[in-house]
Amino acid sequence: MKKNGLIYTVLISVVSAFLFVFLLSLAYGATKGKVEENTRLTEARAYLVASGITVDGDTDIEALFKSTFPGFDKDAAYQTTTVNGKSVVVSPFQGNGLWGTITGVIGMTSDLQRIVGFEIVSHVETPGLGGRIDEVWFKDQFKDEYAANGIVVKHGGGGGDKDPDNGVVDGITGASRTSDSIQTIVNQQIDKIKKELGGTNQ
Amino acid sequence: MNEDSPVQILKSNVWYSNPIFIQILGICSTLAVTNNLSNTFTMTVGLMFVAAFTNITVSLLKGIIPRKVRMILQTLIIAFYVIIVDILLRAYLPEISKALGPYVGLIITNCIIMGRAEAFAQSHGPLISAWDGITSGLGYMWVLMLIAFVRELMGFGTLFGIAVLPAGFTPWTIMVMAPSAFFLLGTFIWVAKTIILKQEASSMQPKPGRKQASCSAMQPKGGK
Amino acid sequence: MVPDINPVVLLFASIFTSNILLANFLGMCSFISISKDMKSSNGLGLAVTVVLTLTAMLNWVLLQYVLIPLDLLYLRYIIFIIVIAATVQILEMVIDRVSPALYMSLGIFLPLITVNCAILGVALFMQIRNYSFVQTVVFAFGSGLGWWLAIVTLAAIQKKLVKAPVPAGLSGPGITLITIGFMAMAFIGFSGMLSVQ
Repeated sequence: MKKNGLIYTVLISVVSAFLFVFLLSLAYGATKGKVEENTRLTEARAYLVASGITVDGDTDIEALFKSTFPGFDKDAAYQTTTVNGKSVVVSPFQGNGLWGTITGVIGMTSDLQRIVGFEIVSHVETPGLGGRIDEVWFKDQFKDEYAANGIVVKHGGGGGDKDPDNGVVDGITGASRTSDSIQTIVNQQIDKIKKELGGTNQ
Repeated sequence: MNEDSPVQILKSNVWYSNPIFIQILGICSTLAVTNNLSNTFTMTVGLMFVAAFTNITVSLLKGIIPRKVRMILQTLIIAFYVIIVDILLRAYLPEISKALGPYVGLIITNCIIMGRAEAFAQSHGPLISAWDGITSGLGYMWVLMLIAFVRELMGFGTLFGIAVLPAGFTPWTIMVMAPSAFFLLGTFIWVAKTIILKQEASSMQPKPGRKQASCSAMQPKGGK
Repeated sequence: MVPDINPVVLLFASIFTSNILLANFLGMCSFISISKDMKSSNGLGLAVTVVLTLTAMLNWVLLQYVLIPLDLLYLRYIIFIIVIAATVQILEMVIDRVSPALYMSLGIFLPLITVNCAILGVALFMQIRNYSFVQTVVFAFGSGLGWWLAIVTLAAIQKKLVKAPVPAGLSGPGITLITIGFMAMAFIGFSGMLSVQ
């Protein structure tokens, strides 16, 4: 067969395309379970962190999640649980960032006065800029923050706001629009929980 | 000295024909993440991996690939390895995969990889081609790591996320933003080029420039 | 979930505040080598805008109706790059047949585009950000215009720069990159004008 002939060219192209795609499907199939497990763990971890539980590398997330949220319902607007004797309302949120959807979980005390924990599950903000909302110092600012009247994400700053009583967290330097989005998302979510709780409990 | 000896290749890829400051290739996909050392490191290691394996594969297949479809098959090979990197990151380093987002996929269009496959792997054996890919990746890595070092240090006061500057340090916001990457790279090229010009002037015989592949030169000539 | 982002805002954001080249560093390869000449810059800018919009639409359709239903999302890089390469080839042939004049001004730049990261970048961004069809078209078109604007501006600056006494080591790519840096700073100034929310 001629090396530059039409039949040979087409044959080689088809065979190699098929081979590469086949190998990729193998690799994808082999890691699919792992990826799904990662996604599930990330979500379970977010719920735990949002309810104020410290999670580190050694924590058995799956077991802890089951014992903390025994009646977990994926579609419910919020979950309630008790952590260290305090009852906590945990709810998943979703909203628009600069580029796309930001999802996460936020936990509040049952009187909705303070935020217990805040965790991002997924986002598509710019790496190193808006993407820093997923860094620990940023998320930790929400812990114990007084939020009865909502929160304010302050521009500038960037070092982390240490005062839990002022309802203010530092935004991300250089990513003011992502910071604004977080403020909107969190405040909307707090309002939503208020309505949900008001409708069912009182 | 033989131009294709491993040491010569190393020197050439890391300094004399450095992909970034001599050939100005492939900065697009990684410059965006250089405000953070860890992200830069992952991206450049990914690039090194893809460059090395693409070179091996292209070198092994060079006998059977017809000329007409060479470009598209090379692209296919590169895309194949990039997807492998993406799958591995997703499964074993989900945090990093989350942080880098679509930038991993952009390694495909990094001209360095195709440039090396075309200029080197097409005409050399698999082992030395792999070495060429690794050293090209190294040449790429050290320049970008240097830029990331300055940007993260001045922009956040941290290195690899660990605070190193005193708390009183006011971060330079400009270092976090895009323009600083251009300024730093421009300055870096200035310094590197000045040194190279001096070296050439003192040795009085300029290094013979190696075959340089640029994105435009390696394009298929269309249907004509 | 499709993000609820106003297309008009998205258009301006992709041209000015989040310029694909100046803020996301995509499409640098051909940018630096071509930007010395005004006429070529214009041609390339037009070609990028056309190809970007066209391929983003094709890729969106493939993504929504083939890749996602068949659970083949992991093959998206290969599919996207093949679509881009094929579109460029076909476009080149069609333009060559239909209008030789247009081929001279646009066609010769087409081969440069396959390896332009901006094209693949936009396809990947529209996938990861879950844009709707309209959002995808607007985002791709805006990104193309933004790239065009950036390369033409740089070409105009380069024209003046030729006469400036630049140190030997800095001349060429060094000074070009620093110029791009200043342009990026100027474009950041637009961010006060609007917000994507």
